[in-house]
Amino acid sequence: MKIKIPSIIKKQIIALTGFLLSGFVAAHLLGNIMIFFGPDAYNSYAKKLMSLGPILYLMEAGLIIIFLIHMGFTITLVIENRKARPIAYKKTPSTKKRSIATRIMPYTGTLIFAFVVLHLLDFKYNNHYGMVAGKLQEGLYARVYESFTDPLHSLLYIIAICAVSFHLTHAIQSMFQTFGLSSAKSHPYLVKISITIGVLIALIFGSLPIFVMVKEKAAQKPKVSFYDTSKEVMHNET
Amino acid sequence: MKTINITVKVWRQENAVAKGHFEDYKLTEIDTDMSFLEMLDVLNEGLTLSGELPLAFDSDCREGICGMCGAVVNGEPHGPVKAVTICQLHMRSFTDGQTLVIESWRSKAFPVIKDIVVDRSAFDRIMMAGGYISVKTGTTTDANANLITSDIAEEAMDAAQCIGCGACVAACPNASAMLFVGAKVSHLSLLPQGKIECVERVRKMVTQMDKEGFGSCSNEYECSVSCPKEINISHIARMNRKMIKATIKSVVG
Repeated sequence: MKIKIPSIIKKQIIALTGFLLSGFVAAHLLGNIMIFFGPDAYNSYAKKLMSLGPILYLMEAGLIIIFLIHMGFTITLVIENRKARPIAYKKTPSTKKRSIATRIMPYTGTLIFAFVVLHLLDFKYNNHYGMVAGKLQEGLYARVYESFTDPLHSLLYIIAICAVSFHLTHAIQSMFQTFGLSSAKSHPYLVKISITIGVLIALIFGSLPIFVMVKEKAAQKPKVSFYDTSKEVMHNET
Repeated sequence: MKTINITVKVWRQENAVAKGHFEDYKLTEIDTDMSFLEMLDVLNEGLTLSGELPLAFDSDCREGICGMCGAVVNGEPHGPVKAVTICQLHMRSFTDGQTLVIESWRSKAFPVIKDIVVDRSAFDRIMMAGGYISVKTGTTTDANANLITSDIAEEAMDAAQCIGCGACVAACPNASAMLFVGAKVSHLSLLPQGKIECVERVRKMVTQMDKEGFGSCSNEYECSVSCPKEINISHIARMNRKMIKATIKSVVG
């Protein structure tokens, strides 16, 4: 017996998996702002996470499955949707209501997928050493730090974060609509909240590489600069 | 009397299987007080006199309440004026020398019959699947037998305004019929007479909607903007909510 999943249910599965993935983004955000508190705070957070052992593997496996479900159902719906209009308009119905974020959802989604793969290779499955202010250091902090001192690397990271941000500005309010949790009254507010969260995510994650680059600039200064800046660096290292 | 000269670029298609194309026609001295359909009548008069086949288009009441007419004008279902059907659109909304691109609704579920006339029986089949209430016929029930609060009655009425013209499908980037089905589901499920069969109705109507080849909703909200009756997207949200209930019920039993 072949069971056909109704289109609305498919969308609700996408919304649910999307919700779980944004939960991951939020948790990841909370973990990664540890970078602001220096290498010790960040490395100990990373170690603590790794020490979860089997639980961490279970969570990772769960995340991968959620990610694949989210993508799989989206791909089938996008294909179905394209098929629903075999002859295109000469003049495409004007975008009176659709935001840019809404229009580029499948593309930001694809970009996010590519980013996640690269990001894992970059930080998770890479050696955890790196140059911090001209010295080789051990730990995830050093790895992240070194990567972000490269402006091109940072730029690509910021572009990817913008994709996540765009994706979320549409996704959050869309999720409420798909679950039927919005009303005519609440919908405009949900749209505003959605945009705010998307922008906040972009600002916080986006500030990480900028923070590192500024810090590296400051660390390089003491060779040519005044003694008080060097004091600050020494203080940081202890 | 103000008149304008316009060029219409209109979709011509001989029949359901023929390949369509755009044809340009120049129209001079069009009275700006004419309705859009009257302008098409003028076009057809000219075509008939010159021995060409007139343009086939749908219309019935010509007062914006029946849902029969409809075309996409310059990328806008029912034209540039908000909350009107194309029969209530007037030529004063256009400027002298303007080119109007006139197309049919574009959807796999709405195949073209001829020119800009499309077959919207997909909507009828969705209604037949569950867009009704099962009641005994006979004498009218007492007016106060079913108590309905004013706000519920208003909201049901807002949904019931849908005339089934199909502009929502035309406007949707995915050619989805969610606003139409949402309005029908919402209208019936809000009222005590319709509540009884609500869960089954949602399941049946959505199943039929999928079968017809409409796309799915990606919450772009273009439908509501193009709707001549300004049906709110909250009716789609209500249908989504009911669909969760219907699915749980069909799985659990």
